Amino acid sequence: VINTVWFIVLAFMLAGYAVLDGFDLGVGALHLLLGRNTRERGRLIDTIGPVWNGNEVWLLAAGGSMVVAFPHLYAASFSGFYLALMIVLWLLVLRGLGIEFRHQIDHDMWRQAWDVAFSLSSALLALLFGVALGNVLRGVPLDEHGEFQGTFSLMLNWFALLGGVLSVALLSMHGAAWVVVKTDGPLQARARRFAGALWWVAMALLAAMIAASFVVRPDFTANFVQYPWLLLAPAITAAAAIAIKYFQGRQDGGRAFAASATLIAGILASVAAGLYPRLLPAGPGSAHPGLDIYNAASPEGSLRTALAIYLWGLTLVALYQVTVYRLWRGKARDVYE
Amino acid sequence: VVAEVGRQPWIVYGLRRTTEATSQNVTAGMTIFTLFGFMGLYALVGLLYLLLVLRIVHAGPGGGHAHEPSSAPGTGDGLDNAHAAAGKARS
Repeated sequence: VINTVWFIVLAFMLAGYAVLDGFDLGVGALHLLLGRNTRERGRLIDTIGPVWNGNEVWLLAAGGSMVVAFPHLYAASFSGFYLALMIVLWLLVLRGLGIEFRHQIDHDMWRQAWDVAFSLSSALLALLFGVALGNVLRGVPLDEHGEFQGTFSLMLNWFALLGGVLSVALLSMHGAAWVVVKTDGPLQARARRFAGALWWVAMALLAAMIAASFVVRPDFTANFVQYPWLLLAPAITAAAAIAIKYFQGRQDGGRAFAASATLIAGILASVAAGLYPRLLPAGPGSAHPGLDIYNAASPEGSLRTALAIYLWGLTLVALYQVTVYRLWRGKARDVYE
Repeated sequence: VVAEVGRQPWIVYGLRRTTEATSQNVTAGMTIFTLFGFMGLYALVGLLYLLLVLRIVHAGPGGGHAHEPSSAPGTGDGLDNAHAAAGKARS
């Protein structure tokens, strides 16, 4: 039971990360297109300025919960995806530098350089997170010790790349929805158009990804057949997808963003529901049944102790984040005109 | 450094050797690549940091360009205004 609780905690952390850091990665990916000049781009940075680093806490916490609860998963994935994870780390550094350094020197070339660094690293991060999730869904070739070597030729398969492109489109749409909430005037109008157009792209890619999943993972439906109430997750996802378009049409930015957040959480919940109890499934050519919440877990005593501590930590983070978002509610002012 | 060198060859003192703790699937070439990657990145960030600190020191107190704007994040207008107001109050 405690293993299942930890599975839910881990899925919750990752979904929280995707929803929260998702929109600021999306703002970053659209940064150069959405902001037409350094002034508009400065305002875009301001919309995520107070919250982006708090959002990234969720990724660290998800990594932390992997060490505590599923150390074998952590060992296998961090060794196997070693180079990819180091690149993710460098991109996260570069992106943070872009946000923090761009306003340090009042010179257009300096700002432009950091704008490009920030935007490219954000877009690449969105892509890599999608590729990573695609590979987890597809499964990796585990050896008899439950480890694998994630070469780039292995990781950059068509299924994972489709996941990567879907991730970029979804998070960009999510980011545009955030900008609609946090700005006004011409920038908001442009963000509206972006969010509207990106909805079609994201939906087409999502449909393609779902169809591809049935081909790559035909066993994925087993959990839904056995426990039909799990179908709630894909149902909520579908409802959220329609709700986004509906609220976009009514120019209700706040609800459109909430629906977009629900869509992303719903997709991850659906993936988790289908994956359970597997954590890192074995791909073709494996000498191992795959890592699941039992064979990758810590001893039960550790799981219990860690959960008690973890829930306190999670509560603190949630309180802190609610405070920050309340403190910085309202529009990012246009201080540039 | 003393702590790290002093405990060799143990990674967990008396329990586990460093050679037993290395990843099977991460090659020496990969770690050299990331080592140089980190060195390059940190050197770049370190140089930029020095550049920015020297600019602030060079500008001296009260003058030059703001680095932590108070009312207008992203531009520096806020702190300039604050400085102007403070200057007026003093005179």
